[in-house]
Amino acid sequence: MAVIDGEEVYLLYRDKVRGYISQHVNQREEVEDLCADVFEKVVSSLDTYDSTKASVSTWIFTITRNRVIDFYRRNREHAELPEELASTEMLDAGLLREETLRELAEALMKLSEEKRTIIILRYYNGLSLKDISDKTGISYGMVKVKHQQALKELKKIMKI
Amino acid sequence: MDKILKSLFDFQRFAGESALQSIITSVEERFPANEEKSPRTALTAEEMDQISAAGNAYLQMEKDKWENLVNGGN
Repeated sequence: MAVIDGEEVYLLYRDKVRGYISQHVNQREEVEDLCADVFEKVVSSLDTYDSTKASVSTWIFTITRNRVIDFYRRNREHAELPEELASTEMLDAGLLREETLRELAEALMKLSEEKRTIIILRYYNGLSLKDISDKTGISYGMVKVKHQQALKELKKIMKI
Repeated sequence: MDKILKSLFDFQRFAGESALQSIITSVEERFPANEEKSPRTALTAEEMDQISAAGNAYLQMEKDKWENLVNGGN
């Protein structure tokens, strides 16, 4: 089990944690509170961190994501859990590694430029297929076809 | 696959893996994420007249329907 320094982790990840929370929570005070909660949990769990199970980045991301999900659960009456958070909940944590992001980057580079663009606009920018069609000038029908083909190709390349 | 990609790109926002980020940046350069929509232009006097006429015609139609109902009831 690797020994990691709490202060070092805080300095390295505070902006990422704050940035991630800000993308999912609008209220500034809540962002600061959640950020503090995350690092409280990180520091108190440092001795249980197991580098063989996850990278530090994945571990802190998981804690941060869970704190944001808890926030939405507590405020269920006022806010709905964003789709990407709901879906991450169902994902095998083992898949969330920086290595997988590199594999995704390599797989995307094997797609045609058109398909790669559709995937980025759909999953990173969160656009609907109709919005992608409007933005790129590709017909809606063709965007739907290319989107499905891109998903199949990625699944095959990444062996998911 | 749909859910996995949503999760991976969400993680990307946090982790900022550089190879993937350069692909995202290249797409965003071609299709900017926060592209402003062109401001709506003011209506011309002619368009205002057409909208007003259409509105009046609709009101008249509703009035006629109401009067038919009332008269039919009698």
